Amino acid sequence: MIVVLGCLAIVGVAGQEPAVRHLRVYLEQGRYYVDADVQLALTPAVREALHNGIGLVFEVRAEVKRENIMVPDSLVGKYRRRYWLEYRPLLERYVVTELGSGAVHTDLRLRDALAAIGRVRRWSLVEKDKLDPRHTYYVRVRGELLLSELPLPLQLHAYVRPSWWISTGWREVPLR
Amino acid sequence: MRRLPLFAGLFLLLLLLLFLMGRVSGSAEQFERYYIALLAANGLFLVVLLLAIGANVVQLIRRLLQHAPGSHLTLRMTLAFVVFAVAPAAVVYLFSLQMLQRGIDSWFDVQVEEALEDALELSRASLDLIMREYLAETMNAARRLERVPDSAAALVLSDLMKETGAMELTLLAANARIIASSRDLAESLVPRLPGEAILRLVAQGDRYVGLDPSPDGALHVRVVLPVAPSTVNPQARILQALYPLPERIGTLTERVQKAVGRYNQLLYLRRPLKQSFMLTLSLVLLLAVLFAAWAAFQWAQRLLEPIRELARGTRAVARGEYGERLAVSRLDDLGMLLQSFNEMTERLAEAREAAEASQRLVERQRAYLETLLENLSSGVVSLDPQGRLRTLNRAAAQILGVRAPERLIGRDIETLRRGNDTFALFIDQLAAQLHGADEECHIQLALQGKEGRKIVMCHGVRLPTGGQVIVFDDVTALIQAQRDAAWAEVARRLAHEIKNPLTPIQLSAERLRRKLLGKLGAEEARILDRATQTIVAQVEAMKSMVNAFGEYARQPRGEVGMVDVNQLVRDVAELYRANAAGARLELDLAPELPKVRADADRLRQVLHNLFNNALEALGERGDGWVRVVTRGSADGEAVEVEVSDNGPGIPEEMLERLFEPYVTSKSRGTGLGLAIVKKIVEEHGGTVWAENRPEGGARLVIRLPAAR
Repeated sequence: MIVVLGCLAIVGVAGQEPAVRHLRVYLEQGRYYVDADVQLALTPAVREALHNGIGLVFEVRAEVKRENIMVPDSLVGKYRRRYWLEYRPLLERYVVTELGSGAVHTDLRLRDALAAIGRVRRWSLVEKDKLDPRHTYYVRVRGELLLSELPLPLQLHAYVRPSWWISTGWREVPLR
Repeated sequence: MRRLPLFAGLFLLLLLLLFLMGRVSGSAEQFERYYIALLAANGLFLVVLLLAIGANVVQLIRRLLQHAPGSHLTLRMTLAFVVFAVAPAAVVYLFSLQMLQRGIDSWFDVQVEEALEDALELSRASLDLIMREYLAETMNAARRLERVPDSAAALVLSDLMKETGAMELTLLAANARIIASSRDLAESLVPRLPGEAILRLVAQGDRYVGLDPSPDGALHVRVVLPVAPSTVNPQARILQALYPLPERIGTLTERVQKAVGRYNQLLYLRRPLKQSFMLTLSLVLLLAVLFAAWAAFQWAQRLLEPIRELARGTRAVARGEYGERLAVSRLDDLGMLLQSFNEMTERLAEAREAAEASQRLVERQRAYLETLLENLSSGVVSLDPQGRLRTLNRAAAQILGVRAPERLIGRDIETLRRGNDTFALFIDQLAAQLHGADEECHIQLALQGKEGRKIVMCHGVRLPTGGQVIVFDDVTALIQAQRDAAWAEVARRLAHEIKNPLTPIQLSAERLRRKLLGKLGAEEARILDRATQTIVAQVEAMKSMVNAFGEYARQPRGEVGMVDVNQLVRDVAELYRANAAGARLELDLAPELPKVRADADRLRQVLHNLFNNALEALGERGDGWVRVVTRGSADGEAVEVEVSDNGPGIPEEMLERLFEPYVTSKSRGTGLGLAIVKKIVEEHGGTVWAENRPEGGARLVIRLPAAR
């Protein structure tokens, strides 16, 4: 039996800039889950690299943190999903492979492939019992292109060029 | 030496970093794993080197500004080292860059690129044919399914799968619900449903056919198309068929795709790759050059360290610090040089110590001699071989009337002769006497100076080193004392032996005259009268002479008081103005003349005698004059009275003995006047001397100490 104790939906303003458009946390059977729509968009430079055979690794990351007053917030748990996005000229399709499970997804359009990467549903987080009720907790989610996973010659190139810095930035929602 | 471990450590670290860079660059996997870390390590090493070089440069500039020894040599050596290191490295660098550019560019070829594109196109065409066939098969299957109810769809799908060769057939409702599915369970346990995009496409009535990769990497053909509604099945349905690619075709197309992908990737990465290699190469060059520069600084400093030590030691020696010891930290030629320097300074220190000891001894002896000389009552004068005055002690200065003798030291004879008359006389007479002397001589000199005539006994010795030393004594007082004593004895004897018989002689002559004068004839009486008068007169004269001697021999017993010499001169002169017999008496008295402490009566007698002498010297001259001048000495210590006249002067042969008794140029008088003058003056601590004026006439000067 699913009991939804609390949920919070945050709908972002639609646009092309990378952002976490939707973030919802809910509690089911003593465990917190998160749904999110992480909007990722490629700059022309990155798109050109993709179409020239460069595979891109995106990471969607979630962190559960406890709020502190005097010291920086402490990390309770961190979770991540990595996706390998490539363009196959023979198929003329974008192929998304989830690096953890190996699930493959193909799309004709890049937008659909990026949407598939950013679509997070029922992502299992921390158990409620493991949280101290006297403290306040929150979840934050971010999606980004991992430059460290680029081919090395491109890494040096990408680290110094803002057109390669693709990140949604953190978006957070409290755990209730 | 202490920098050697640091140097070796850094050098090994540099080699290790460069080796790792080389190894990592040669392996793509290691390249990707360690390249950034190595790059950071090299960058850190680079910063460390830059800081070290910067510190060395700052230190060198500071040393250059301070003109420190060896700094310019350090600069030149370092520059030379850097140039020698940079020049070949730069050549290799430029050559490597060129090779790199050309090497990477040579990987790519337009023909290969076109061939790959063609192969890709061919693969697409081949796959298109296969996909068309599978589409046709699937369309046929869809038509057969139009009249098959959902309940029987599973059986039909199974049959169709065998007929078409599909690996999976799935019938879906419009909402993507699975109605029935038939598949090879070895391939997949669950139906592999189409994505939302495909479903949207089919929902619009279109057909989808495409190649999809499976998780294992193999390709399969996916065909999705709508199944037209029929009377049996009024609802629209969707049929998805998955077909395996023929193995050969799948393998080939996959290889073509990978080759094209890899080629495109390389083509795209060409520029970043070049940049990475150039960065690596530049970093390596920079590290090598900077290390060479740093090593040049260290090497130059190490090489020049002994030279700096030597310079420091030399400066210390120049300052007279012989105790400075240089650190000898090496055993090579420079180390031996430092060792030799240390030995040299050690010997110098010993020599200086011995010289100082010797000098101290000489100084002590010199001080002893100086003290001895200064306290000698004898005058000592020494001349160097060139005739320059080397020594003139206090007694010599006093005897010769030299003031500030220290200013005369080092002057030659001519200069000395010009400055002081007495000294000039001394030098001239001495030179004349010493001229023919051998090693030593004994001579007596008579010097005439402002303080009168002096008799000096000289003993001259020729020094072994050249030059002469003259030891002399002022024996004037001694000789005078001897003469005075002799004359006093004469006076005493005269008074005693002659004066006593005179009275009986006189009385006897008067008695003879008185008894016999009346009894003799006129002629005899005249003779007796004249004879007795002569006897009486001569006895009176002898009495006067004896009294004068008595006066001369008399011990002083007057009252001593403060005497105004000017007033005394005026009083005495007043007595002589009336009796000057035509001679002019002139007084030139100094105002504010210090008083003297003296017996006024005896001083008055001195003036009487001097005045008498002067007036008598003028004789009957109508233009004669006597001038009396009083003055204080320049140092205020004495009062001088000068009595001069324009008479005939004093015969030269008498000048030396003028103040002795019975030395006189006059036909009358006792000959004791000047002797008494001298005696009284000396009783008052003064001196008297006589000299002839160059213009004619005589000058007598008495000098009495001024009262304090």
